[in-house]
Amino acid sequence: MTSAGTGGLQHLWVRYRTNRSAVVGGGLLVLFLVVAAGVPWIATHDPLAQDLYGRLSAPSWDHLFGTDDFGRDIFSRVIHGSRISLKIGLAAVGVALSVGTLIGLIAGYKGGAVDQGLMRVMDVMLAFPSILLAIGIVAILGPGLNHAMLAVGIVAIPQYARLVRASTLTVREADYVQALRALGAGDVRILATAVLPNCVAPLMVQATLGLATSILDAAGLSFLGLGAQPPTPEWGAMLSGGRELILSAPWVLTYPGCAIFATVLSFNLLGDGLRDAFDPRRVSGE
Amino acid sequence: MAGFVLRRLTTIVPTLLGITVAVFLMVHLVPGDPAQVMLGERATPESLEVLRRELGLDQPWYVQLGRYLGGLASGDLGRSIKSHTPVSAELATRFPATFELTLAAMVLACAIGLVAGVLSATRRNSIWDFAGLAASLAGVSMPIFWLGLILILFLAVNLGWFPVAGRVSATTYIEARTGLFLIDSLVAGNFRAFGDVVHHLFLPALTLGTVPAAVISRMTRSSLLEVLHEDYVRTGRAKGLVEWLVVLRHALRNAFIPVLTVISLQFGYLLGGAVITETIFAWPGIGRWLLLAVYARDFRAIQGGVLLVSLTFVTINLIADVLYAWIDPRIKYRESS
Repeated sequence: MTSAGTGGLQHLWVRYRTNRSAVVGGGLLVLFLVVAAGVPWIATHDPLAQDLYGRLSAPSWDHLFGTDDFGRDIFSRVIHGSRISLKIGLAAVGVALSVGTLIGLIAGYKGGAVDQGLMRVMDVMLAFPSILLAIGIVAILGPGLNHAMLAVGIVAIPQYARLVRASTLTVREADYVQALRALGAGDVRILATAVLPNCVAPLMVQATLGLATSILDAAGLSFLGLGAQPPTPEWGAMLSGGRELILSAPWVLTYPGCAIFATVLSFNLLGDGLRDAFDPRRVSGE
Repeated sequence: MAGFVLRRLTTIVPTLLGITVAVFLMVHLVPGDPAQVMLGERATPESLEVLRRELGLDQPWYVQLGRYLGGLASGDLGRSIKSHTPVSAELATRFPATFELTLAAMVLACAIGLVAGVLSATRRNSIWDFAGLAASLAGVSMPIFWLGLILILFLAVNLGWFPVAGRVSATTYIEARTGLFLIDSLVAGNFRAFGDVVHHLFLPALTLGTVPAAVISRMTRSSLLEVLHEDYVRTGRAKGLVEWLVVLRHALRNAFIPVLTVISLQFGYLLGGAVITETIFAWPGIGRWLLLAVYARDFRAIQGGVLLVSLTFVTINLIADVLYAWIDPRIKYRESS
């Protein structure tokens, strides 16, 4: 993968393009990104503006998705929520990816007691059900969107650490790494030029699927009242606020839920497609 | 086999100790004063001092850790800061509700996931396969807190098929022996109550089991597809076995190790997801109680609840490890050599 060059990339693109679900996922994702980028132009109302005379009105031309119990336009809130979800996903995966990769590289490359120590800590983290660990972390830090993002990110660290460690172990003793060492290359250079590029493919797949999980988990935390706080137009928090309205105004729940579902689905489709494209054995081997 | 189990047991001791210490440190080594949280902003310095001494918070952290571990050894998890009842007693009354929900969700998930996975794999590229793949993808992408609300709206409220919340109807009496109402009602020979329990259990278990069902179905499909072309499967067919016997006895048994791994890991998801499901369905289990403890910053309760759930997860993984060796004896020999 590292020496793939443009020919390899083209080959990858061809394999990706022929994977129907991956293309659908990519399409949904582009739509999501366009919406997130175009929030000021797409949203029809201020997501926080209340209209107490227009409370809980059903979907109409004026309010495409209806209004909530404060008379806020749900369409505009869902549209604004796309940015928040994107931010959550990127921040959480950013934390997990950077810290996890660093831990995996150090553990795999150094070996011995360092490896043992770091991986036991990872084992202990994996012994907690992930959402429970995230709840525990938020319980300590206090509720809030930023803390929820951090918690969801911390919880995912072990997955990346294990992945990078496994890749590092396989290339550590490879001839070309030995050759680099013999030529006098330092640890940092060896890690950056020879070891890390080998982890890129699995990390990309993991990060894409990780975006789906973090958006879902953070929405779950917000639903429980531990993440984004009202009146932030975060999808999970919107569902939490609308719970009591399930009978009288189901639209309050329908659209934020659909938005979470479609976004998570697109990242999952894309992640599956990337995995198949990077690993042709999976397609033919099945 | 006994040796294998014993060896496995010794390997989880450090993990268990790690979890316990991690939970302790998580709650104790952070900025903020639990006494202040408990008494609120307007507490006097004197009352704070008294409470700190009462909770042992005036001691260095390692002394507190020592006391906590000592208490654990005798089953003492301390008292809830909010309700002042022993945490272990609170957990004992609530754990069976969570355990029953988790098990029911897992049974549903396995039933749906295994059947869908086998159907998909044996009818590859058929409409069944595509439908199964699409459903499983939708399943893993589903926010269960939303799914639960939708199920309540359609199946409980609109159609009136299921109750909206709770473990049993107000009119049903079940004498708690194990706390697992399915078992308690059967032991008492009260089939009406048993039916009532199943009726209440179905929607929460379906909500909670959706994601694991999807994951199990995906794993069953891919792992079965890998073995369906193996020689021993062909041999099974060649000696005239009917197809379903070939699939069940020869293929599925060999494809089952990765599926079992996924199943045991999904228990972690279920135990965590129980917090959300219990909140939606007003299920009187540990999850909902833990969430209330988090709102109240009741650190003793959080500590005890998280510890118990994690220990359950580790125990389930241990059982899965033993099952591996039973299904595939090669694992046992590899471990001992």
